Amino acid sequence: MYIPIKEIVLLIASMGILLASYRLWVMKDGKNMVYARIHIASVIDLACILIMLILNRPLLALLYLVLSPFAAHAIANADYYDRMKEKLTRKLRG
Amino acid sequence: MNEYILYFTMFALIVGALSSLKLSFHRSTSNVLIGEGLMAIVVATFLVVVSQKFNIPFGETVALFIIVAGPVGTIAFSTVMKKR
Repeated sequence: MYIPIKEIVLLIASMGILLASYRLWVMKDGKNMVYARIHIASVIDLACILIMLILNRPLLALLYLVLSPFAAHAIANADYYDRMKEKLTRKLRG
Repeated sequence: MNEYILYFTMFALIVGALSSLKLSFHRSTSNVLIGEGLMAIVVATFLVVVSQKFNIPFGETVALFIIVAGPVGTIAFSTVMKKR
């Protein structure tokens, strides 16, 4: 019996991308929303890595698997220090 | 590979690209960076799927360039934003 594993995994990855994109689209702004957005974006990242692995592109998948956490950390770190600076400026002004 | 599954994947990637485009036009810089990084990987994956479906030989090379340039640009801009 033939089970189309590649097709099933591709379907699941596509559904993940669709659901994550929907949440990313409807989410309103609020406190600490940048971290939530990075979290949702990483779901799409991993789904894309899975799609690349299924389509026989392991070099691209591995490269993005290495680079993606660095980018997410850089964004979160920059956002944190940006907000800290804003808070400090507001405090100094009184 | 079933072609309808590939079409569905392409549709999902287009929806993801639109969602990241909406994020890219946001007011705060961090959200713009998230949207930009997401757009890079979604476009690269779309190129991979299209080159697989229509047998385009240079699709993988362009995708490799986008995958390297997207996160490196994000990291560089984040560093600039932190030092500002």
